[in-house]
Amino acid sequence: MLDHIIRQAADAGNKQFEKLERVTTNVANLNTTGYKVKRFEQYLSVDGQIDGVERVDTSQGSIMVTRRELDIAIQGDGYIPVTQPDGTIAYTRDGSFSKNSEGFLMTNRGDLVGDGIRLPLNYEKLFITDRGEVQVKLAGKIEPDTLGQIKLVTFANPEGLKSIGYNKLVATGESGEAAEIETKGIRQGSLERANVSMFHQIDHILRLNASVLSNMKIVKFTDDVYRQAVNLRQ
Amino acid sequence: MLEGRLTYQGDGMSIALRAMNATVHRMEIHTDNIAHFGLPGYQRKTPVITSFVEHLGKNAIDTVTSTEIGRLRKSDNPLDFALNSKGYFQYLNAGGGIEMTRDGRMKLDKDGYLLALDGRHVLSDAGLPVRFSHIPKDLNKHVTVAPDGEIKVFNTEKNAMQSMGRLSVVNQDGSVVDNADVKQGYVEDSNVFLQREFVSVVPLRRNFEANRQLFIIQSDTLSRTIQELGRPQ
Repeated sequence: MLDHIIRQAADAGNKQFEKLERVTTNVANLNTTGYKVKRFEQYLSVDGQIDGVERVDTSQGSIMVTRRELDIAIQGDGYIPVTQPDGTIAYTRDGSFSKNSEGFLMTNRGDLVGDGIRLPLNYEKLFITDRGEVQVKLAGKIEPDTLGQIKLVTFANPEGLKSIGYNKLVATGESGEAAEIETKGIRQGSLERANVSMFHQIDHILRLNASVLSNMKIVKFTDDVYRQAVNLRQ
Repeated sequence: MLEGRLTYQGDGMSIALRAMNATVHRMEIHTDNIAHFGLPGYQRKTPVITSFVEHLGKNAIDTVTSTEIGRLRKSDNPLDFALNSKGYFQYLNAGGGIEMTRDGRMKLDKDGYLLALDGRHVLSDAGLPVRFSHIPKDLNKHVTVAPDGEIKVFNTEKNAMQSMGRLSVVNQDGSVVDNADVKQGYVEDSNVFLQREFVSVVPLRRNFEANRQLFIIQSDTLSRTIQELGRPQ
């Protein structure tokens, strides 16, 4: 009975610590481009224990103007497919791109954007339209040439995507297959900021702090009672 | 020889023990509340003691679940629902049984089923799992839930809102709540107040100590009585 109380309070305290871990991850990624808030939601499992799942809040982050021609932000739904060095496809919302030595458009982790969009060596200006078409204006020409398109895909259940680090996600059975969409939401010269709300995170931390302290205090109380119960004859 | 009658209340020790036992059970209920402080939709329990505690032991303790509505917190998730009225949402568990809870945090799976966080199906007022006939393009804009629980999803092809059924909101006995108030984008925090729980627990500890002292006094008295009486005259 008494040991049950102690175990329950200690378990609950541990779970709150686990939640604190997710909150700190969110705070740490306050300035990560395209980061989506992870929420650790707790619920009562069938056997009465507290259990938790991680959820992703896929809401839009604010758009920050950088004026860099290779930065793009996605306004609205969608993920940019990228080809990783091993040939597999991953998805990201981080649109801060660069060029590699061969002129291919790359993410900052060295993955090809789409299935490879190659930029020529000399061009006057680079445009990325709101539909994701990459166009360059060569010297002496009036009309820009279209080199390729940055396509966007969506999933039936974006929360089912698995994070593999470095701001990249991969499709799973839960997320469903990637489906290409028509978009008008690509903004050149901008980046999408993380959708982390500092005030929400602080609110979480304060609640967690109170909860952890109370649980630990209950452990101490119960321990006192336990000791007295064991030494009943003294 | 002993003159007169020796009166000894032999029951005293077991009364003290039972009181200690009951105190621990009450502590257990408060610990339960504190452990579930961070759990949305949790309803605090209060121990109630009947006056038959001396005879019934721990079973004289009953719990009353408070139906006070917890603080509603804005979560901005279109699939988080909070009840701003009495009542419970109904979920279908893996075994086919129906569970009731005020925790209205839901998600959509890729087939369009509305699920609880741990994958249980959400039931509509028709008693069937809620399923969207199509996946909304933009969850934040295309899903609305009316206060009575009716879910409407915008169909981009038909350019119209389509009803996907009504969330079932029932009383504890299973009857439908008439004036349900479902709030979309909100989470109901537990109605546990940590300070109140501690205010209740501190006297319990003292109560336990007092009963323990009573037990020790009576135990000492008893052993002294046995020693004195047992000494050869």
